[in-house]
Amino acid sequence: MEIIEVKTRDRVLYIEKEKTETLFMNPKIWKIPGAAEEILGVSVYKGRLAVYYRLGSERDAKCGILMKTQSDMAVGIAAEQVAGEGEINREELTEVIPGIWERKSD
Amino acid sequence: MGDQQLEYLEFQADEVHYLIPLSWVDRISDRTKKKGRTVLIDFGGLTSPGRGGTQQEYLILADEEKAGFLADRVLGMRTLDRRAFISLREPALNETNRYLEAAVLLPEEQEGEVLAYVLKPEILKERQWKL
Repeated sequence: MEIIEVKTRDRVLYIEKEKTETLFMNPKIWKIPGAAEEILGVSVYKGRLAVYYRLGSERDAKCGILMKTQSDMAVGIAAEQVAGEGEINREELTEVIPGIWERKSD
Repeated sequence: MGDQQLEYLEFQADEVHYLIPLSWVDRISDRTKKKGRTVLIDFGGLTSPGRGGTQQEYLILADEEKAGFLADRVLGMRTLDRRAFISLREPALNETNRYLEAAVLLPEEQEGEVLAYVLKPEILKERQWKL
């Protein structure tokens, strides 16, 4: 499948390109009181809320990647760097959240 | 004021902005004046565990002073249109934080705009003001 490779502070993640809605720099991410530990925060993108999962980066991350969803709320992750694009065999990966993968650890 | 216009008191705790319906607010007090029966609601301790509420100077008293929201800053009144509310859903919400009715973007002089959470105090009251 076609992917975008991104680096968070301590993980390398593979974003399924066809499920990606947008990628943008310097997202403004706010804390959510009482949210689950896996939730980093929320931002507003084109009038919709976007919830970020905690996958290695913090709220001061350099880029935000939002995934396509059916609901009126987007979901995504924060990352430090876009490392490249390419194709990768799905069998080498494990899905972390829908559309976001990382390498199997064996 | 139209049906959609509502008045809120805006306050800040641990950099997070909150809006409490003005109809729930009894008065604003210095936290050192807390009465024994008032339950403290410490959002700052929730969003930064370990921070504790001791740095927060203000107390927003509600429900006949049974509840006191700790605040770093009290930012004043806001009249908001419900149509500006942005719904919160899972995974932002879970069983514990359904007292967040919505989010809203507020214009701010220094930060451009800031996200604030609209509180639904009746949910907290049902839980004896425990977060």
